[in-house]
Amino acid sequence: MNLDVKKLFEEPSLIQITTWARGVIENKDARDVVFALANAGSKEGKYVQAWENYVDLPDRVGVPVRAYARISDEPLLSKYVYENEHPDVVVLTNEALVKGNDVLQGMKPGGVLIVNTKRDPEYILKFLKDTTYLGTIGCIDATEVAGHVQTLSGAEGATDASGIGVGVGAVLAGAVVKAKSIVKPENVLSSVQNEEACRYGYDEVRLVTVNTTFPEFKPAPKKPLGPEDLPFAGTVPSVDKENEKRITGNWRSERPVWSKERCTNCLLCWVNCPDSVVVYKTPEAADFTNLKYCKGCGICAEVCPTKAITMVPELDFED
Amino acid sequence: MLETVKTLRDMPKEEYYVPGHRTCAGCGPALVYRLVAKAAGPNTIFVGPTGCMYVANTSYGCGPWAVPWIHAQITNGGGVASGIEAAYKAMMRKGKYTGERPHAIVMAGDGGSTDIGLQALSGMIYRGHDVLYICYDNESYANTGIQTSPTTPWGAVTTFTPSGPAVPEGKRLWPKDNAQMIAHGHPELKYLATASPAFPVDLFNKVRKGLNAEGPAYLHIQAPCPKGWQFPSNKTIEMAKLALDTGMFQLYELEDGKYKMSYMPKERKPVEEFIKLQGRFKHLKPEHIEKIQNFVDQKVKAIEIEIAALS
Repeated sequence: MNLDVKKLFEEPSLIQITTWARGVIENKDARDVVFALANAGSKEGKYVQAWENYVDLPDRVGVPVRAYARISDEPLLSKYVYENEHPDVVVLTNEALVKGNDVLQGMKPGGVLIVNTKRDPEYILKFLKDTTYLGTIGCIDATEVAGHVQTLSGAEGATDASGIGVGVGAVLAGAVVKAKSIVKPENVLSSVQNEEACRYGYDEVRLVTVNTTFPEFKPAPKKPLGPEDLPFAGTVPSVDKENEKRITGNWRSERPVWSKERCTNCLLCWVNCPDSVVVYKTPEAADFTNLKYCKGCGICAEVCPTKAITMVPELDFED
Repeated sequence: MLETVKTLRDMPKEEYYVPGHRTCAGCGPALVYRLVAKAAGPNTIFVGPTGCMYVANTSYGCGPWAVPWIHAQITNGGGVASGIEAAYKAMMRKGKYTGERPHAIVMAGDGGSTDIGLQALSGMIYRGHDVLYICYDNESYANTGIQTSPTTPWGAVTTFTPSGPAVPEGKRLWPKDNAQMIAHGHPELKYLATASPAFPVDLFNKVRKGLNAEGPAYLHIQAPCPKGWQFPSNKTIEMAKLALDTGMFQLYELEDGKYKMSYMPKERKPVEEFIKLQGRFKHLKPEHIEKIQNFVDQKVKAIEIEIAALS
């Protein structure tokens, strides 16, 4: 048989969709986006797959998690290895995910980025490192019209009884088909529970063209993992060291901001932080100096008796 | 001997459970772990039976401990700790180890202490090993996606106890009281206490008392879980406080055969105030909440009678 293996895996009609979300609180929304689009694809007789990322498990509150879909006019022949390597569409259910995560990694030329945010596309672009292949960015305030749905049906095998697209998932799926006609909008509408929200996403998404011409697509070959890429095994060597291979600051949607004037040095924020972010340098002063591990849980602001700590949206800071 | 402390300022600033772990934002058990490690200090060996505090902390070969740590199966935390303690004693007897014997602490979840790991815990105390066994109780098998455990409250929704038309209340079984079970059936037990992150100084001192006791000690620490209890991640301390103020959880210690209450709310709040803030109880009807209230009233009464009789 004369089979060109290289061509076999090119699959020109294959569309890859990757959704990023915050664990537990938005996991369902991420899954809803890819399920709604894959469902719509199957209604049109396309070949579809949708799944969640095993690498991101176990599912934890705030951890960046991903869900994927693949839609094609031809049978899907290539095997996926846990993730979409070259997404055509990337969706973020939370704006702060642009920080600390390489969300555009491997994107195909002319790719689309849809972000759930109140902010302007131009502002979001500031946080993206390499936009060479990004064709369009779209911003839509999905949280405004549909709340997040916290369910126990995270990525751990439970059933989901609440229906596809009852939360922000419907809005974002609507925005995706406006930006790129992967499937027919009416088929997405009939796949979601909250049709009104889906229509809102389609009508209201603010699309901005980023690039119209692209250099030749040469995805960097995947570097095999070496010993330096692996996290060190076992325990942390000393009390002064931190777990440098597991930075958790990119879990944060809101940042604690400390006001020295209001602080009475009661140390309640210090003792109640699960991630030792509040550093107790001297008995007189606690300080927020270790934000690279702050997951933004907000316990410190909650326990502060003088309201010296406030939680501010992470994207208000350009650092 | 580890000194007990009076205020937060007396606690050491060194962390032996450092940041960079994959636990939830606002994780109650992680906060408990940090305080336990701080109280125990550098000469400690942690035993971690399977559970959230094993899986989330060690994802992909990383570990946040600045002291030695060993994984045990969920069934045998008590067994592994017994072996560590006995081995050190034997090496010291033979003159092969001359340093100070390290503290052995088991950090087990409610599954690893009250359910699957109960036999190893009971055996460890029965044999009189000098180990501190800590149960961080987040009231479910949270690591695998929230399944019911023996300490999950009546009426709570988990993936094994969903609320539906046939069983509107969700979980139909009343929770196990492990601290009472350990206290009553183990004459070798030297120290027992319940603790909560709502009172960090109290928790810190109980860990040190448990380590100072020459023999087995058991600590049952309630650790609110934002994922399993379904509350916003900034409310962890508030949940711990409300559990104590409503009587859903009580703080006491058992030392030298004497009970002592560590915290008594001046006026007990209705359990509804604790329940209404959590997604796992949102399906409950007034008659269900009344049932929980009756259960809590009886439990509080029973403990008060017990304390009056034994102190």
